[in-house]
Amino acid sequence: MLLVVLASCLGLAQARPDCSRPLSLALHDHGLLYSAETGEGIDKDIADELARRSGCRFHVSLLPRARIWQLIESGALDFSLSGISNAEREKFAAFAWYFSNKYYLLVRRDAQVARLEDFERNARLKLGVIRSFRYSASANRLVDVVDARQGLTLSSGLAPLFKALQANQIQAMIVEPFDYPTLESERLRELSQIIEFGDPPVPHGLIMSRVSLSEAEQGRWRALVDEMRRDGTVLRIFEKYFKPELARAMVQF
Amino acid sequence: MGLRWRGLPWLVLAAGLGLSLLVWQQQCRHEERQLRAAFDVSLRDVGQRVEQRMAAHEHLLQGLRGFVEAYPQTDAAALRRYVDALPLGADYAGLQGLGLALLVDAAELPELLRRQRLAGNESFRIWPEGQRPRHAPVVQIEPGVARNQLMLGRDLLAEPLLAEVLEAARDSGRLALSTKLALPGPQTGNPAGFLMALPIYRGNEPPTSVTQRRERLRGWVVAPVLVQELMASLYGELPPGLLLALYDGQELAADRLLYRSVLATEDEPVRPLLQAQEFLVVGGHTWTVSLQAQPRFASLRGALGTEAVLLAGAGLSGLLSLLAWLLATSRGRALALAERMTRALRESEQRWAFALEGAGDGVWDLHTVDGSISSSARWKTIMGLRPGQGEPNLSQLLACTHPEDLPRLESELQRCLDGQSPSLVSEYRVASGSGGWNWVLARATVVERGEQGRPLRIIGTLSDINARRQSEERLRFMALHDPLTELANRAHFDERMHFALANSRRYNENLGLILLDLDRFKPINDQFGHAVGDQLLQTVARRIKSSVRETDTVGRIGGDEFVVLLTGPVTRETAQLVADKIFNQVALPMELNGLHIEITCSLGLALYPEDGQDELSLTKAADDSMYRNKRAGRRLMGGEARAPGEFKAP
Repeated sequence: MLLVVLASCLGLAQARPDCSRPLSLALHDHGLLYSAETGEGIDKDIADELARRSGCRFHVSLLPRARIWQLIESGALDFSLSGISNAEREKFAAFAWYFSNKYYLLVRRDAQVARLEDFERNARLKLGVIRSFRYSASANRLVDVVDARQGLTLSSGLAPLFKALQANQIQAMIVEPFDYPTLESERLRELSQIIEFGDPPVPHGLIMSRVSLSEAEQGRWRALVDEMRRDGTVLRIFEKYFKPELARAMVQF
Repeated sequence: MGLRWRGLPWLVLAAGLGLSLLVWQQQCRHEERQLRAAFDVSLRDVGQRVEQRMAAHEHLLQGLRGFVEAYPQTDAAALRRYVDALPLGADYAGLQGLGLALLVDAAELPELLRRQRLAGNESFRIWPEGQRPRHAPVVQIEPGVARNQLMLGRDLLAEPLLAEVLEAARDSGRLALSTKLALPGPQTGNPAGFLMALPIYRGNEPPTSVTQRRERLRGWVVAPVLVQELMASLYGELPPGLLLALYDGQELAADRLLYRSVLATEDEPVRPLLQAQEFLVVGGHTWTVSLQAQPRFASLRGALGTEAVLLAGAGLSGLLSLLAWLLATSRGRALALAERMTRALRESEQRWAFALEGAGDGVWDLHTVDGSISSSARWKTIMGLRPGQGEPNLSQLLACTHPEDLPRLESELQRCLDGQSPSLVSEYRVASGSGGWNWVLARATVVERGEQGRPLRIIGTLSDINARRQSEERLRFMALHDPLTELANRAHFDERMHFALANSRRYNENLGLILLDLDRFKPINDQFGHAVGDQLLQTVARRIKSSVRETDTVGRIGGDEFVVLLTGPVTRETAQLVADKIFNQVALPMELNGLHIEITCSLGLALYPEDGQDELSLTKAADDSMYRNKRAGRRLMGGEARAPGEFKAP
């Protein structure tokens, strides 16, 4: 019993991150993750919880995702949220996973696309993507193929892509569960359909700059996130925005 | 030139062009990728610059908001000092000023106007006029230059589009941007601009919900921005050849155009090589950046130099194929030349062979190292070889040569081989197939020599001279013999006697000379004719010849005079025996043309050295002896006399 207490004390001591300096955290405007319009979202809640638990003070800013990755790489930004990894990002960023989700292709019905290959082949079809976003393997491949045929329309935020889709400036975009409220609009339902990429869910997590945060510090923040998952905090946050089943499916991976 | 070689230049050309095309395509793809990467970097760069510039402007507004929220009772002078202290230079280009728009309802308007007048703004009024429940007039804008003064009193809530912006800012607590506005004031260029608005709240803590934000809203920090100035400070580093346009919203419509970069004078807008749009979300508002790459963008990166690769490739392919053509045809020419030369040589050989064969000559080619011989068919015929027989070697060849001629031939051949004589010319006899001997003439010369002049090869002709040699023999015989009796004539006999005397003198041997004269030949000749006379002489000649040894010489030195030279061991007795034998043989009856004829002869014998020492004395002694016998009626020396002129018919 003493050992357990000792271990938990040690663990507690290890889990406390260094708060001796103000830390920077950037949000990006993306559906349920964060809405600049309302100032609310999952990432905002996660950030608040991290601040509360760690006792650290965060300078929170709202930046385009591409800018966030640049700043994380340079070390000018300590944290961001809901990021996914790839080989390139692993070089400059560390992650603490707290949910996973799948990606889908939202495509206009009048584009007559039944399969992903149909979209790849048709040179007239434009795909809207947020600059610097990466997705699951098949989605990434689609983006790369369409990029090679100059079929990408880039955006620094999500909202213009939905508008562009409705205006037929683009014929498809890649969506994830955070975009559901927008998808539920009747107009979008009428003109678009969902195609699955068939990839397994991709883990998302706290993004930590390897330049500005030491390995030990990353470990402490990762422990903090794990703790939030273990004690159900993350699930509760997700349940604020999603139906319980979906929230559970996203958080328990 | 074979078909294979004829096609080579085309093959090289096709391969070269194909390779060039492949390299060109790869180069094009590579250049295109590079170009697109550079273009994408430029697009991203433009977007980020705009975002960062807008973020910098937002920071100014946030600063002013912080100042106003921290000092709610601040006066116009303090706010002016604050703004004056801001570094509004080139880094903040486009920002026309920083202003304050306060939210007042209709009831609060009089108090607002009063305070403005108290502050010295006598002319302050709220515009556009009209009854509205709430107003958001711009109460102060710094710096207070003329263009900004035009904004004073403007009720931003009176304009629906601006009201929407202010309300969005209010609800989010964040920066909101207006749509495109025509900014008032004496701008020299494009007046397109927009308004930035950041809400100001009451209270010490920022409101956390929309409801709180609406309740605690005090006003807005506003800033009009002139897009042309904003962009001018950005695109200074825009790569040449790029055409940048910024649109308000997501439609690329002319009336939504905020800004368009101007091409350098030498650039004429043409169909863009690349174009892309990117949506920028700034302050909850979407702008569309449109970027087009003109050909100059590519040419400055050397991307249009790919044609040079193709041209160079095509040129090199052409040169290579030309080289291949030259090589192929030179080989062809060389082969054709070789063929012509071979044909000429073959024809020459044929002509020579024909000429030689026509002349009846054979050709032989001797390799001295191994003694092997290559020869023509005619040569084999002359050499008495069978037509199908293989080539003989030198030793076999020499074995065919007449033993008498062999030493001479070997000697002459050796002289030729040693180089002592320029060529071999030798006549000799070779065995004929029928067991006889044939005369041949060999002509040859050494055509190849090795180290130290060692002969390697000798080529020659072989002529059949048998007929010539026989003819010559016959002529010689005729010159030395009596044509009727084929006995030695006087000259030949004299020569033989001279030689025999010399020999006898040298070896001290005896020599016999018999003279013979037919008795009463003339009457027979006259009586029976010359034909019978000639036959008689021929018969006598044969009988004399059959009576002497092979080594003895019989000659006819006159019409019916014969002479016999006895050489070798001879005594008077043996000589007498021969004379008797001759006498008896001649005296035998003979049948000539149906005539039975008998004739006798007178003989005279002389011996060297007893009867004479030289031809003259010896002949005289023999002649004297004969005439003595003739006078004595002794036709037969020591033999039985017969009555002359007794002829018997057969």
